Amino acid sequence: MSSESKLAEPYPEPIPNQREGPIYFSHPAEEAFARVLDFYEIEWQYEPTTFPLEWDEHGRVLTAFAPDFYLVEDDQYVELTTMKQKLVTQKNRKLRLLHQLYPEVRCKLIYRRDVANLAVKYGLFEDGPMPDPCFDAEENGEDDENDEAGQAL
Amino acid sequence: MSSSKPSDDGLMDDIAGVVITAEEIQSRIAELGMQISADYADKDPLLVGVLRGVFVFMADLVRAITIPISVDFIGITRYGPSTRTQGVVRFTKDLEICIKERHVLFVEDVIDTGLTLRYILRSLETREPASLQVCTLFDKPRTRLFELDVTYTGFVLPDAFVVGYGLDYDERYRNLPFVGLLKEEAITRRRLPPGAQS
Repeated sequence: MSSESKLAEPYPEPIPNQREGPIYFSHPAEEAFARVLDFYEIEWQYEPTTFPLEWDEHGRVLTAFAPDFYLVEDDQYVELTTMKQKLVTQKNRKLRLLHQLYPEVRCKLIYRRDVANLAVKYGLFEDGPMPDPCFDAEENGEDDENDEAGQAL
Repeated sequence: MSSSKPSDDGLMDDIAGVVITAEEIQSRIAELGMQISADYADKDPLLVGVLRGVFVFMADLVRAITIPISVDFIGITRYGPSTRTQGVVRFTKDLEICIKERHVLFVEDVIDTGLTLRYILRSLETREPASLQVCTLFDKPRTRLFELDVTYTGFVLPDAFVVGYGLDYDERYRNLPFVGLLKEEAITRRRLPPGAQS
């Protein structure tokens, strides 16, 4: 039986993330992206919502997804992924579940190569290439902060 | 000699391969010109481009259009190392032709995130043109952040960093007659200060 078929009803509601004080970005690419949005006067929020995706029979959330950015005016989420393409499977699965469970939510996934191309275009990391340390963390199986239910909920 | 392989080895050394040949570009522009000529017949359209990358495409596109047209350009700051500390986006050159009640075709060299285009379109819309449509030679829909209505598209670009035919990296390569894949070492080399070793 696939994991999708274990989903119970009713689905939990999206959970707003309370933030006070300065924003600490999970990856330098996210901080750079935020600066670009500021430049173009795009109103954004950082990881404002966590979407439960899978939970057990007691209602305890097992998997959740908190897209990186919410573009307020466009009612559009944006997720930047800095993982190598072959390791994006898990994130694609979360996005598929997100669309399945919350069809009204629009979320755009921007892949590592596209992030890198934008970094080159906008000169985001003029002192060198896009920083790598977080790639290593993700390649070791760690996902973005707040994506996992245990961290986010 | 193919027009996709100019003798300027200084530029060609940085190109890993040709993605869209000069012949393919010119053929597609001819098609776009025919389509625009038909769609805008008797409308006396004004073509507006944003400097600087569009100048190459604009020059070829207007010559492929067979109806009377006008042309104007705007300038805008783009996010980059030199502008990131200067606050927000702003116009550096305004239109010289009034667009009120004119049929405006906004011409772009490339659309990716759509950030610049949306900012410009919103500004132009406030000037009450009779119509406002978009023509882009190159499109990168994978990185589009917003839904934008693009009427004419020449090519969809691959998810790679390409240069040429108006597309630049650090203001270089715009004069290549084709679209080519830029070598990673060329990007690294341009990031380093003069005299530094990569």
